[in-house]
Amino acid sequence: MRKTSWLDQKRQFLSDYFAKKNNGIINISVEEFSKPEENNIVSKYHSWTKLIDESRNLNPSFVLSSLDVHPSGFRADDKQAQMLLDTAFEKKVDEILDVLDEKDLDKSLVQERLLDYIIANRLYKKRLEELIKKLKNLDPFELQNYN
Amino acid sequence: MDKIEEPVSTIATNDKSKNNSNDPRILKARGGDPNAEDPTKRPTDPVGLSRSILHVLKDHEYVRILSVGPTALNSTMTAFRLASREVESLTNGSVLVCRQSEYNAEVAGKKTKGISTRIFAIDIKFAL
Repeated sequence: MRKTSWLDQKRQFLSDYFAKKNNGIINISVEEFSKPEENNIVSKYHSWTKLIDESRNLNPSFVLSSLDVHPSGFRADDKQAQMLLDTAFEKKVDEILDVLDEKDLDKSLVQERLLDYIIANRLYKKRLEELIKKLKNLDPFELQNYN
Repeated sequence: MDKIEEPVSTIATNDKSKNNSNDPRILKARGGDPNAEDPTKRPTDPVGLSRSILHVLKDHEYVRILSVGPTALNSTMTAFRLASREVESLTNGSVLVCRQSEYNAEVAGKKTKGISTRIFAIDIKFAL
């Protein structure tokens, strides 16, 4: 598709409109936007046991990133480790939302609190297996200190 | 009559107080007029706030600064930059990182939105 094709279409549309060849209704086609593949691999259906088992032989290093870029807020130097950490993080967020019954609690707030918890307790320094175990055992009420 | 002992003296509950007023990790930045005669109506001094940030971080894992309005937020961010410089010069590879989000604040009984700034000291290799 040429870069200027939409300009040509717009020019033609306006030309036809002012010449009263159309009634001003625009027919457009929208291309479906596919989400980046990276986030699609995060599955909620992993069990904690499976996550811990799969993380056992991995020893990645983490760098603080952003919740907008990585679901866990951390970038790992290993693709498998990244997927496991992101999945564990999302799984914990869902668990917390299920357990805590607060009116104003939305998902982004829980994500922020959980990431604060990981940073404040320096869990990013731990081995992946240990980090996931910590997430698994985290008492959701503990996060209320991070509000 | 025999004294009947209570089976448990305290019952642990999950109800935790949400009163943050005594939390040493929470600081509040004030807005106001820099030219006000009354010092209590002037904005928070960023230099003093930066010292408070470092003081809290000596004993705690993070510090949270609550601010409402652009003047208070400006003081917060200036204080963060000053504290960051201090940490970078005094430590061997530690940096301060800040995370921010909106929170529901109350000023003079009116509900409003504020910015919660959380500051953490982390090793530079985890921040790059």
